[in-house]
Amino acid sequence: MIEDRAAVGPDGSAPEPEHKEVQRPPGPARYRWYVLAAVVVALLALPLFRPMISSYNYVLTIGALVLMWVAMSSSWNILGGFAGYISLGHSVFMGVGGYVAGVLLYYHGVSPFLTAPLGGLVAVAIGFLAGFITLRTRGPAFIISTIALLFMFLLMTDNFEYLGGAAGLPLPPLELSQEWLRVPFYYAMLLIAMGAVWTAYRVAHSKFGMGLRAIAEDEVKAEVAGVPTRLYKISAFAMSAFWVGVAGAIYGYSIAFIRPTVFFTIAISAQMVLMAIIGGKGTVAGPVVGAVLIYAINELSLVFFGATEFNIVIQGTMLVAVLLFFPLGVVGTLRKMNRLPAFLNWD
Amino acid sequence: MEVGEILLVLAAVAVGFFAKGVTGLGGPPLAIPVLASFMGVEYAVAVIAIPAALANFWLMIENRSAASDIRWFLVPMMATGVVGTLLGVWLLLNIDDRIMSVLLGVFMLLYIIWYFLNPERKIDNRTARRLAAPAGFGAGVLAGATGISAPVVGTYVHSLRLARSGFVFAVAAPFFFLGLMQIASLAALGGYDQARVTAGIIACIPVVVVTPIAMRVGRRLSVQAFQYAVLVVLGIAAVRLLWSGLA
Repeated sequence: MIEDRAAVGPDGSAPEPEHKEVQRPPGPARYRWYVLAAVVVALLALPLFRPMISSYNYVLTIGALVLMWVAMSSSWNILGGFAGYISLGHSVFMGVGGYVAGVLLYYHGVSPFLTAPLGGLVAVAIGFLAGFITLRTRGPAFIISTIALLFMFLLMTDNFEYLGGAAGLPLPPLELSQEWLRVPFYYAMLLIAMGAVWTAYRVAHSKFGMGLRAIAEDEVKAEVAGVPTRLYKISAFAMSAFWVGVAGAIYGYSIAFIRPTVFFTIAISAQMVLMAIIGGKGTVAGPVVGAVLIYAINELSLVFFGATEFNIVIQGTMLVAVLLFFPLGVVGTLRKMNRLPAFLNWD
Repeated sequence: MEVGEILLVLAAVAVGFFAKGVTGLGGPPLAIPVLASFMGVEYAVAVIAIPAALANFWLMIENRSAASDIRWFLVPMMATGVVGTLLGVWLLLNIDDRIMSVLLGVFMLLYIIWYFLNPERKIDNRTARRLAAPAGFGAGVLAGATGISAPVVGTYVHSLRLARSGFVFAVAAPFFFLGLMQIASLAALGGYDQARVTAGIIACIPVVVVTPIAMRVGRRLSVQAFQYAVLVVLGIAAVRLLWSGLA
């Protein structure tokens, strides 16, 4: 990371600007982009290796879910990580995206692959409105207000017949042969994850992102320093809703039904928070690492121990271990120890 | 349950977990008896285990910056805790738990008296390191036999005179771990149905409300006030153990 330090001459005046040749970043920083490009190419190519993968649909389903969590956790991180406002109501935006795309498919036959961005935009609008109201509070009151938002949406969808009420709406499945059915969902989630991480990266490297970090450090000082805190917070809330909404739209289509209890649960929001914290809250790569790690732990635990109660203990043990040995999250702790691999240093 | 009774239970949960948010201790010891008086002990233990896991995890997250300073005793403590839990379950099935309650209550009262006689004295690091594994084992035995481990964990960690965040993380981590073992065991034995899980989730609501406020209060306490607050919770737990053992 290049630090921007104000250099001052010996007499206190600003030094003469030096005309130096612009240098390329040193080796490891360049490797970072090669490694990332290789990862993206590998992810893009994965569905092409059908003959080599025995449980093809299973692998693609897991891949799509991991990418969905990457997208949602990265988006949550814009508000919760950069600005330091912990929202436990972000699953609302997943539900909004799911319902917008689901309703358009159910009543008008429009594919969610086309309407998912619209779902994201509606989520942004609701995020803006919700942020306008809830971000008058901070700390515990903000957490509670986001939970209230979640319950409000749960109650609304539960009692709204047009949306199918508590039973939800069944969605027509994608008309593809069983063997290729998961491929479109996988690619859609890959696009969404890349978009979400790219958004987080752009925010982290912008004046807006710097303002959000200042708010997380000390909101009053940030305000005094000229950061339009209220506008930034509301914008962060709205922005963090977009990719969650888009992911919700595709997820609803992939499971072929939308139902309040699928989306509007605190467990989904808590999972986003958990992934960001375990990976490294407030870093760009943290939520990605956290999502992959937690999903891998859950999945490996299921594979080795089956769907038994023992899984709870295994997952809990892993969480305690991560918190014990990586208290700032995996990325945050490795950075503090100067051991963060260059390809994960995106801040 | 009537509405008034539900409110009483939620209030007990709120008070118990407020104490937990401040000191890292409390929560189930205060909430379980109130809920048990309406719904029975087994129901209360199963339901309160859910918000307890949430509160412990939350406290761990909030105080995780202290984790690297205390893992030297926490890792052996939690490892032996697993073995202790197995023995505890065997004891639960084979001896009268009232004997354990009385022994433990007396031990805790002796510790509190010892603290007031030597308030500045703390266990040196070498002794603390040696005691970590036995303390974890003892906590496990107690958790397996009685469902609570706070008396051993809280007493051992308090004797180290850690700063607040270190103390809270040090008690929340084993509670979380042992709590998950308890939830898993109960689930395996059919201790959870949809109604109990729902009740557990509802019990999380007061926890979500009071925990952040309690953590804020805890951060503002002086070291001395924090130590006394912990001793008050330990004292209440000791009296409760003696009461249940001798009654």
